[in-house]
Amino acid sequence: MSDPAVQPLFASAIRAVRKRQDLGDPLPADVVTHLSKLTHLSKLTHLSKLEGSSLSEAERRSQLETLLRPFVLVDVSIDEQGIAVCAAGSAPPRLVQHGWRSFLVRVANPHRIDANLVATNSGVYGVIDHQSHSARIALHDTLTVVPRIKDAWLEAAIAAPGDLSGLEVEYKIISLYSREGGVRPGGVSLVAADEHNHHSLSRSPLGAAGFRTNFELREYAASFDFDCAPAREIQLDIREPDGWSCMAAITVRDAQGRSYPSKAMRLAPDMFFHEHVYRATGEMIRLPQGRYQIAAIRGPEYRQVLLEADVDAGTESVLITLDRWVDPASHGYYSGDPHIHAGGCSHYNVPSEGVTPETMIRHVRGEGLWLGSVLTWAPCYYHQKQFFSGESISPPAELEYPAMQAAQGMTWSPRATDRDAESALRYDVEVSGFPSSHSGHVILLGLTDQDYPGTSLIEDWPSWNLPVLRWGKEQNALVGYAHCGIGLSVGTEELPNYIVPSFQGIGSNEIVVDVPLGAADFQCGAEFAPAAELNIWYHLLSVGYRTLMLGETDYPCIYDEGPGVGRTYVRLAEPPAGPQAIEAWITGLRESASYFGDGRSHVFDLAVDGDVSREHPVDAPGPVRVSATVTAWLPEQPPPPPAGRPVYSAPVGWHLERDRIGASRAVVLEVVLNGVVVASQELVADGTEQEVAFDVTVERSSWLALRILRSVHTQPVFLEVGGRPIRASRRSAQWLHDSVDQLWKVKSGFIRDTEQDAARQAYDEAQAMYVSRREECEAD
Amino acid sequence: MIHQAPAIGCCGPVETDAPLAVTINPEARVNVARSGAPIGTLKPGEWHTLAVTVVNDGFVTGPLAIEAEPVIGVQLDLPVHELTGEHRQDAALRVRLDAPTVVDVTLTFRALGALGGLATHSTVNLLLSARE
Repeated sequence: MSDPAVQPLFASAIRAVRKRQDLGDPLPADVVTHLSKLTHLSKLTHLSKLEGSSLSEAERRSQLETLLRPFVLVDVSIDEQGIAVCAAGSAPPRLVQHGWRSFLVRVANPHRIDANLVATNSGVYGVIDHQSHSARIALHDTLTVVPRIKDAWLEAAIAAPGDLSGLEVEYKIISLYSREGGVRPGGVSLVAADEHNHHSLSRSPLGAAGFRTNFELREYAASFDFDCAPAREIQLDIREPDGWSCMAAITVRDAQGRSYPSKAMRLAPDMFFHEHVYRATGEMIRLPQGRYQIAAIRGPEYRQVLLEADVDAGTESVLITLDRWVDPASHGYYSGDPHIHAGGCSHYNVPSEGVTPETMIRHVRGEGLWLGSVLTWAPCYYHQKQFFSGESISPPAELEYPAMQAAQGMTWSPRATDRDAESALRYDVEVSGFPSSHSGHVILLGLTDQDYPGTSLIEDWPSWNLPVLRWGKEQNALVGYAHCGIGLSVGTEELPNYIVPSFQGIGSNEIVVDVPLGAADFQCGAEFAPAAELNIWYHLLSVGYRTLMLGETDYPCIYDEGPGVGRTYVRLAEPPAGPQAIEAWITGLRESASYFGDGRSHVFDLAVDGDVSREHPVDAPGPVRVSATVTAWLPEQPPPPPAGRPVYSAPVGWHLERDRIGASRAVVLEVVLNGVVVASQELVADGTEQEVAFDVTVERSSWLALRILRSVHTQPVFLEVGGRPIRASRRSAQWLHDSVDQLWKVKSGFIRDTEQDAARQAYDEAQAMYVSRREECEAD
Repeated sequence: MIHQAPAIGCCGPVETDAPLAVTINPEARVNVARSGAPIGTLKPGEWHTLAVTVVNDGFVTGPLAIEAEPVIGVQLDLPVHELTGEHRQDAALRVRLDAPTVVDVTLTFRALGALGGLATHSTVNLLLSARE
């Protein structure tokens, strides 16, 4: 091998030394000083001027390598085929349990191959399968998974950039995370992914690099006996403002912003796609000594609490007092998320075909939700359906699969809390991944039977939605559509608009057929742009249908953060509890007041002329008095921009921050009559409850609602004038009629031949009803 | 449910024959990366042009400056380019090595003066070699 040129060798070493400094794990000060002396300069940034010294190039190389050798954990040699062989270097392999340590890697690359150096991982993230849609299992997967989890205690990452320049020798940084304490044998393996000379269509450069190591009986990994300093169990004393115990979402980061426990080392109930974990009062988290920032929140009814904690030999617990700013339940409004999942999407599919009710209730409690509808769908369907009972449940938040938990070192004992009874789950069905899913994903809430008659496989279900919806309604279930806005965007934020969408997606497509036939009750949204979601709802309401709209999350498919990102609040006489909790909540949705949104603003007691009923008949056209109690909370200033960003940007979709007027703390509250804003006022989002009132003139039978667009929307109040039905928009009726045509055009090809005639007949009936209502409309 | 769509957007790999690709995201942050196109071998004492493709998703106008830490034996011609705001723009810099050698050069690209890059992504290091 030719010797590397001095300047690029030193440049590589300098970058590595800087990177360790950036990672908060610098080389010892005397070594840095020595490096400085070597360069005759005081700053590492000018180390390259070593060339100005009187030493020969060979002497300079030798001195540099001698100086750095004690800190090299892994010596990598890349052969002519680009295969990386690792050997243990001189650095003592000392790690810390539940913490990161960084080391130098020396890469010998005599063939000067340009490649990307990547650490292969045996972490839990590599064990669990979050990509396959396997739906049937033959053997309980803990048989093979437990040993793999037990062995997956070490995570390794090459600090960016990992690309090799092609120099004969260069230095990189590797960071290692240990789940365990004590002395443990382990290996570090690196591969060189060559993206420039990659000719495989079936394997990625990284996959091909790993694949090549399978052909020879050769040791590619460096072996160590790691000495891992133990971490401490820190008890989290989480308290409501009133002192009650509860579950909350806890995010722990160190000074470098790394989260604990490592996301790559998580097993349910801790999710690898979360930064936070859900912990109850008195439960544990393991932390090595150090300083941490702890963030705590329990859904949008709380302000995030931030505190700094020093963990040392005497630290046993941390007190965290939550900061609740609103309690809708004290007004009789109870939250629910009608669309969350326990398997598929970001959830892993194995082990063990998603997660259990004991994990899901932990997540629902941690977001302060009264109800979570856990919908079984195609991935994991045959496994998850075992949890359906036809009743609401509120199980203890126990650890699932004890053998796996033990292998992962989850030794803490779950704790009950004072708030546990305030959250419940109801297992039901989302018809997603079924033959009819092209027509939109149907949600069935409150089923008594989850198997469609005469079927044993999901492939046997109907290929369009109407029969499924009717079967659900026969069970007195509340039935409707998920993620309503997908495929319904038409490139405008105007509401209402009269552009017929493509219906190419999986939004509330067939609802335009099902509502006039009395087969669909609701659509769910509060996830995407309001115009895409609300337009179809407004049109249905404006021709006289009583369709409901709910806020949902589709956790963890649309939003990973947790249940209740989108949520629905229903006014009930008493809290929803016990086996019939969902039935009580559904009854409230049908008969009482409700609103939906992101939970950052709330509308209580919407009334027309003092009447809080959903139906408010009036004798003759004229003014009505609209009143409500409204509250919203924004921080006084917009959140600071994240590091490296010029401004803060709220998440896309529904989020009150998107309503902030300029740099103020105000948002706009609007009164909507037949889809059109007829009154508005600014509202200071300081968390106080504010009485609002508007005088609105009602000229004909109408529907009326309050909204803070992108944050909260009430169900409508229906105002029938002189006993006449609502026929408020001829153009809405035409839009719905034309939408049925567009839907048939793009979706009918997916309907089985044997069901085509029935479907066409239903489409025709729906269109005939729209024509009839169009003729009855009193306004354009 | 829906499946998460693959990430798309401003700063994916750039299709180009230029060895360096600069992308400017919608928030005007500068990212620079090697494209995969070869740099080639330089001849000692001769200027060598390195093409740079700029993909501008931020509609950023004004100067795009290139800075470098000094390296003995390396001369760099780093012109300030005027960004037009067009989506794709060609740029270039020149490098000359005094003698047959291998050097490591670190380049930093800056637009809009004070605005930095995405973490350290506005900086790239190049291994340049010159042979007779």
